[in-house]
Amino acid sequence: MVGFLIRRIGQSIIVLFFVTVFTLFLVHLFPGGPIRALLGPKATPQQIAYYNNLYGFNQPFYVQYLKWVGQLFQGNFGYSPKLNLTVASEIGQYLPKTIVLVALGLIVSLLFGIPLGIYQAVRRNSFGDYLLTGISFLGYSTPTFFVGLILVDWFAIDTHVFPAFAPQGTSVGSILADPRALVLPVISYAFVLYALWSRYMRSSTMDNMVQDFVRTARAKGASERRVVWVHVFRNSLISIVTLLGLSLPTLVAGAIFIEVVFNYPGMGLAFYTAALNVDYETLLGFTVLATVATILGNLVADVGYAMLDPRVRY
Amino acid sequence: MFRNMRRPRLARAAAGGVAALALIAGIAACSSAGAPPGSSSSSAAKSSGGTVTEALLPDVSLNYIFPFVPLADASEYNTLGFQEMMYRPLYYFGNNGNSLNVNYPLSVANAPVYSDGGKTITINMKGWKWNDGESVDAQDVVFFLNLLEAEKSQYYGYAPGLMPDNISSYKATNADTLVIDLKTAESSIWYTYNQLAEITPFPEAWDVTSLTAKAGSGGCAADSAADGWAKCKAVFGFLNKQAQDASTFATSPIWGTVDGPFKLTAYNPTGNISFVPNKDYSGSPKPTISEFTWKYYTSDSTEYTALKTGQIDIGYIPSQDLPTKPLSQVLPSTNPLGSSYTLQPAYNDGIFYFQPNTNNPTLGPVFKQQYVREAMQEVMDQDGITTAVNRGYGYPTPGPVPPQPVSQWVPAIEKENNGQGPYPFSIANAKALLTSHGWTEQGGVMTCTTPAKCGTGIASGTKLAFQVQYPTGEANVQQEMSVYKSDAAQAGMDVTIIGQSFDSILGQDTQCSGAKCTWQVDGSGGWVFNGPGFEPTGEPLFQTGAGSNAGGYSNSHEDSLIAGTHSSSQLSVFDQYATYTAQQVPFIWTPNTYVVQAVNSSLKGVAFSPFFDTLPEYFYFTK
Repeated sequence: MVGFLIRRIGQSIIVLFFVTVFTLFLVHLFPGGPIRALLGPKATPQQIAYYNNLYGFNQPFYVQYLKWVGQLFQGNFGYSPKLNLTVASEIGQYLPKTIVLVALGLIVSLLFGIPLGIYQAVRRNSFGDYLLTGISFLGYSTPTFFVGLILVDWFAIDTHVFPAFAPQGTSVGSILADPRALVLPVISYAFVLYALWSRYMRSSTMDNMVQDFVRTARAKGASERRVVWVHVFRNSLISIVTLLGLSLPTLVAGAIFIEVVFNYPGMGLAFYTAALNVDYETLLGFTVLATVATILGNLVADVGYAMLDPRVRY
Repeated sequence: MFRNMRRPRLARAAAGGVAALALIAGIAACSSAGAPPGSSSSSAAKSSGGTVTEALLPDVSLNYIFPFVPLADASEYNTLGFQEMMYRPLYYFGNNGNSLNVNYPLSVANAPVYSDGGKTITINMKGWKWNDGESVDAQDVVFFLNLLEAEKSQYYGYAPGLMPDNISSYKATNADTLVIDLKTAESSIWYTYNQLAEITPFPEAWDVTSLTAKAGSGGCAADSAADGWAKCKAVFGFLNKQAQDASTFATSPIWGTVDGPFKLTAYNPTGNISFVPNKDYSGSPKPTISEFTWKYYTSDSTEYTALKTGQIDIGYIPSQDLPTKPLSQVLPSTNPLGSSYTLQPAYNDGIFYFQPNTNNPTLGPVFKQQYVREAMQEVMDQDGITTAVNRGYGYPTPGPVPPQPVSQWVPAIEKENNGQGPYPFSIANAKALLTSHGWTEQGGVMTCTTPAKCGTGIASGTKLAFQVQYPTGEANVQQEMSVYKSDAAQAGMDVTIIGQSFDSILGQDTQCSGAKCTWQVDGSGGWVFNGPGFEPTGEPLFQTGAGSNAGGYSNSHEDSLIAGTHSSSQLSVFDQYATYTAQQVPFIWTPNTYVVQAVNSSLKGVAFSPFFDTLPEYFYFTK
């Protein structure tokens, strides 16, 4: 396992290198350069040259890249001239909010998706199975923002049951202190994910239910409840754990549609806005964060897989 | 934004100078500084206190607090909607209404006095106070001017030849009097509106190089070119660094020194930006409300949801949520928000246009022909687009001067043809213009068959086929382009519309020459005259080589008329420039739109300046 981890870390550094080089390269592909986008239509060639010199865009690409990497190693993610904030402050401002929303959405979707997926497998082809399959397909095919808009319309504007917007506080404490305002955004986010978990859980459970070890367990007199929850459940979780690990990056990348609909500026919206504004420092900083999260997510998935399935060894 | 600053002088003996002073005073008197149009009929009892929340546009960021704004952070929202609530400029422009004029009651100085044939300007300060007890005096203006001398390349409004380059000297002759000497005589109107407008007095408390330093210890207000403005450079470095840390805007003692009606108490660029009244404000009126908050929303629909659920007092109704209305009406017949909100139009002091590239190797010679531009204008159905695409919430751009709100700047020619200007929509006229100049329709596309008539540099066989790049992201823009393409085709112009991101167009469509200068028509043009220059003269757009003249339009007579607006204090000279430019049609004018704002019915005194002036000191709740 240690050797595996060392190899994965080595691979991760290479991935991180290529992703960041590519991102910086893409920023430079912008017509007129990122400074043109920063300064707008009234910039004169002299002003563009001045700012190119100020921000170092007139230096060779590799010099710019090394300078940026050097900053990174000192904990300096850069500075956004568009927002007049350091990228680290932006991350500090948006990341906790995104983690709260995405984590709650994940938890709610898992709490419903896993048991209902098992229920569907155990009671397959029943009315309940068909009903929940229909709901899953609805969740899977409905765009997240549409779910959000419908919920806002029904439960906020028309009936005033819940607030229209997610908590508007800036700290995690203030967000969690307003649980009513979290209901609609979390449901909107969780609805699509629930579909994913329940379908995979159903499928995985059905596969495991016909395995020899299940027949053996029944032959040994295990109750159906014990068969499902002690024997089948753990094996069926393997695919879920893999998917969960791959979902880890969304804790960082955010959920832009939910953020927009519920007025909850987080990492997703910040990333999108930075791309529109060619805010290269923010783009690079967020890219590093998202890449690290993706790498970690994959690692968590692989380790979790090994923990669940003793046959898997690295 | 637009900037043009000159300082006219008023000669003690010169009749022309006196007339210019009278003209400026007269123009200023047109402004209704104390009469917000939205509230004059209210008879409900006024109550004091209350918090007013207003929505920011989704893509607007109030991100720079220091009034010495670098180009990267230049926007009317930062200046008029943020900084000027706290730091009043030397001369304020606009009012809580539709005025486009200088507003001396809201300014920290009295009207400038021009003398010596227009080369000397005397400015008398009113004696207002900063909230730290110090006076807003002449030395505070010197402080700004010294910083400008030291760091002009960092200032968004600077262009070579303009302030401070056109100033030969300036001096505070006593505590409240500043005298500025210009290198050449300038138009009193232009210099007041477009150069003096740039000045914001800075407090002595900012003349420091650290947070704990004594006020004035930075030495910038007393600095000079003798040491290369070293002290000012150091002070600027400190202030700029402070301004780059947005998280300290509401807490820094630097930004807490204000002379405006409000001071900042909370700052979150994606949340709330809140102000409370400055109880030491010297001006009038004094704020009645207890707090004003800008509220950020992620999108139009989110903001509209906030309006529908009554979470904000002032917001805008997204165009897609407005019912269609006839052009003759300003507001919709039915209020989508019901009686909880009253509706008001909010105009912008701007013009919108396509820019043809006269330096394109193939089509440049074609676009250089005035008759071609006239024909391109005559297939722009501005009223039709406004009705069909913008649901009636707009009006034509007829020339270089914004037609709304009505002002002294609008030439008569722009009012012709029901506000469409000299070249109203007429496909037949466009076709006739082209055919009378040697073009023949072949396969549905106008082709030059008589080069001698088509114009210099236009070869036989040249087709009138061109690409128009437009910014993606807004459905109505694409629809406008489609309408234009369709109408142009009827006149034999083969238009290809190409959607790209605004920033891509910005990067590509620049002044160029040679074989690589391939862009043809930039469909994303627009200019709003809301600072740093408020007189809509044409040097950044239509002058040969101007910074925003991306298409390379060049006309020596145009250039001389523009120069005339800088040297003459007569409105008639400006009128000549505006009329000629409308006739020349250097750009293809496109429809302008206005926003329908919604105001809480119990909130009065709210009006929407075309400059984006934000004057919550006029707001009040009714009982």
